[in-house]
Amino acid sequence: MSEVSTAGAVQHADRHAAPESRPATSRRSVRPRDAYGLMVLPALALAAVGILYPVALSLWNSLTKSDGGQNAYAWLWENPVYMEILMRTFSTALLTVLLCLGLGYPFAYLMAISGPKVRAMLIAFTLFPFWISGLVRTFAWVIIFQKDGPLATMAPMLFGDGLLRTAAAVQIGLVQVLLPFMVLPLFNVMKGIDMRLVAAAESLGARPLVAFGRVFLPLSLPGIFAGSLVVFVMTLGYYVLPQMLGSSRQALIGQAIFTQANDLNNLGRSGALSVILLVISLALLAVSAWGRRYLPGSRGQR
Amino acid sequence: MNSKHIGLKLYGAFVALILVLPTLIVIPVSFSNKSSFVFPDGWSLRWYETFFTDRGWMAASWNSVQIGLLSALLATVAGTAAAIGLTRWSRRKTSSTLSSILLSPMVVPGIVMAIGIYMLFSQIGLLGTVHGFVIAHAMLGIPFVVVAVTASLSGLDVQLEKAAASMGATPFGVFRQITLPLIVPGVASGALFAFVSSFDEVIVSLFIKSPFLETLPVRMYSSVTDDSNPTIAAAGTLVLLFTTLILAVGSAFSRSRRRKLSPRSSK
Amino acid sequence: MSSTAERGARVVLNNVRKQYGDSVAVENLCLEVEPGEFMTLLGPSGSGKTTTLNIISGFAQADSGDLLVDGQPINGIPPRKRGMGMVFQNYALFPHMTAAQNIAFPLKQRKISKSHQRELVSAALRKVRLEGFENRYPTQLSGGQQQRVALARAIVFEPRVLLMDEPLGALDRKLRDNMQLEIRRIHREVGSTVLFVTHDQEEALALSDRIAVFNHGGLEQVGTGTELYERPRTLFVAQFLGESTQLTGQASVEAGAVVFHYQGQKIRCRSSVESSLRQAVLLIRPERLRLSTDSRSVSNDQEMIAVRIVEEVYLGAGRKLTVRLPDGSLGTVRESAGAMSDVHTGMEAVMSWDPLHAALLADDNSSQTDVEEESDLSPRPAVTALAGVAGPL
Repeated sequence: MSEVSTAGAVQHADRHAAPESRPATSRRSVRPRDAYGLMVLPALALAAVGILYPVALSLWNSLTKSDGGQNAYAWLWENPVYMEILMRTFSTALLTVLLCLGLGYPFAYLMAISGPKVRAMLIAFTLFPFWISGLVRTFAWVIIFQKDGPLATMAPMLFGDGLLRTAAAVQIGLVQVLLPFMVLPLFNVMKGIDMRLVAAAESLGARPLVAFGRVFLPLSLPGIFAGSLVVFVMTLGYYVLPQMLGSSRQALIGQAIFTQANDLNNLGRSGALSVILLVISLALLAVSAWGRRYLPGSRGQR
Repeated sequence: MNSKHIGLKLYGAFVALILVLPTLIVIPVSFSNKSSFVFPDGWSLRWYETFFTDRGWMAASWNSVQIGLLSALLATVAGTAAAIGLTRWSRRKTSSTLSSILLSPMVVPGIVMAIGIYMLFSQIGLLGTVHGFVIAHAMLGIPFVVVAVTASLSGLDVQLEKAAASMGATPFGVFRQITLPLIVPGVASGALFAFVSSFDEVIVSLFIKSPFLETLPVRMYSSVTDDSNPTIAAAGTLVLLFTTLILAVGSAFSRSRRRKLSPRSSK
Repeated sequence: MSSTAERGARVVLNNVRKQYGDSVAVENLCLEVEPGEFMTLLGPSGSGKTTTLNIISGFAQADSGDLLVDGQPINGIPPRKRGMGMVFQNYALFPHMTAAQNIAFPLKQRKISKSHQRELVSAALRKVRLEGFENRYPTQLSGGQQQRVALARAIVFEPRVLLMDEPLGALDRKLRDNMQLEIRRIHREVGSTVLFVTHDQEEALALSDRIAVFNHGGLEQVGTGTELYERPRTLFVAQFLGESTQLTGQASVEAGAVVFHYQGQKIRCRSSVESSLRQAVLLIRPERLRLSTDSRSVSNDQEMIAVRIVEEVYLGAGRKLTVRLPDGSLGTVRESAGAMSDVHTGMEAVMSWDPLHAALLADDNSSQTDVEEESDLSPRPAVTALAGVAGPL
């Protein structure tokens, strides 16, 4: 009976929550504007310990610790070995990017044009490596590449000695491990491309391949850019995979840093190499952020 | 999209296999009857036996689980708070800078972090301690939590919080009753990623371990060079199983939740 | 009705001003809403009506001026302590709670006992005619049902002030009309003072006791629907509500009476209009105009001018004719089926009206939006769609 309930309602004054009387201040209620900022503090403290301090320390060491009586940077500059290592790391990273791009682009394209079920399946395959331990994946390659392993037994003419401890092994491992990092950014961009634009180009007389090259490809450029950058920067910093699959004669920069720090205790030199690595990585990221703003990709997106 | 693009689809299947198949080689090798990594021609469970009876392997596994859970917890709490703070803070520039700092572990090479953390920990005596591991791994896990929770938050209608406030909820009440329940998927997903990333972490762990405290990945890494018998394949297979299980459970949860909240599921 | 007055609060805004950055959202805002009244805040987007609602609800702070509810100033009080019910345009239902839990939410914040909560929730559901929907989740409800749950949630704690921000905007025509009737009924039952924001003038006319018309941050006029429609005080109000035929000319006072000079004619106006105007617009509603081929049939107390019929549109319940006025512009005349004249397209005719039904307004071009005869206020969907398609190419 609504009568009864409304009568009961009148008795419960708190339900009305009658406005309290307060002197009319048109000032904003005093909630610290930066209360939200305080919530970031714990995470920031952890980051300070885990990132800020280590990076600062590397920088400090590189400048102050002179191993063997010589400034670390000077020593690096004079030593052609390290230029070689840097170049090798760069070329490996570049090759990884190109291979990942070649393998991954059509795959991402397939993901973009597939229906939801197939797409979900392909995404699962792509994300699988994210979940499965990187170490296990690298170790799997160790098994495959070793002297009596499956590769050697399957193709004894080509790979009789196994591929372990070769640059090729490292390259293959890198490509397989980093492929998802190329596919995902590509897919992300591709799924936003309006396929009707390609259809429109074809209806205007362009052959399918031309339509693809003139319309789809340029629109996917931001994805290519993003994926390439991610893969490149990640390759630069890798340690475990090159160490497990490659040889110390073909060391990459990550391994060089490790050797200097761990084996030789040359903190100045490892610091210097770290700083160089960091600077390059950050510079590339800055380029990507800049490029993302100016590349023609924002149009043509759904 | 059925009979056309058949070449592309075959290619897709090929790449999909490349992504997954090589890793699976650890499974047969773990059942090998031989004491090397050759592809087995006979089967045995001895490597599993070795794994479960060896004190070193068991300790390492238990350490990894323990450190994984603790660091995931720490990363989730700190990361969720940070994500909310960064998303809602009015100071755009500062929050954007801080956000970059928190996400930087994804970009900074592991070796650089490892060396630095090693030196810091040796100065303050955290080497080879569970505390040290938890702190280091939590820091590595925070980016995952921040990304996942931020994504969840951005899908949250701000009007909901306004509505709750207009109905008498205190700011904390709004957070507890509205915000938190709705970002649980993001938080859970971030927590999961944080755990897995800790469970898999090698390079930093290599530096901050001690002979008495090592994690499973560390043990596996050193055993590749030292032991070179398929026990590590058994360990690897178990890790594979474990993480796949976590993933399956997680996605089952998210699917059931999505069904509850999806539009027009029953009418 | 005295019982309604008990359950609704008196809301007063006094010289309220609010600025966002460089632009002034509202200024010199003075408004008094009677207890239990249904007051619509009407105006185009950006006119300040939503800002006003936000100030009343507490989600925006006025820069200066007073806001009083039942005589008490509430400027500094946060929204959660104001005890006002709110209904949002996109419902803002909590997706992770059932309808019952949504509706119970304000009660839960007020620490009301579970059993009492159940009673009140049932009562609220009954009021919005959604009994039995307690355990549905918002995603399992249609748009209209969601809106009703939102309404139930806003009234369950019997607020003295109920704020609604374009709640029917997302519904289709038929549903909107139904919901308007529901809202009227619920308002009568519950008795809160309602402040209703909309840009739809038909909705405003249908629902309100009084309407406050906003334009560029200020109030143009406040009054009942009849007052605003029949006796608009500014050109903006006249053009915003309903269609009209407008004659542009000059006004002057002659022998104590107001005279409107139009194309050489002197037209009488009703005495109560402003007499201090120069450039003026005589505004007549289309249904108040009569057409005839015979000027002698027009009685002496009516005014008339010569027009040419340009177009006629059959509407079933009547017809709408577009006429060419002496100064070249177009006007609108509506005839209902029971009283149709014999004029047709192409004919010359006389258009007549009773001076009492014409409004003389300042020609201040304050609302020079769209000189469309239909004074159609809905956006042009075709144009916006074209722009969207052309964009990517």
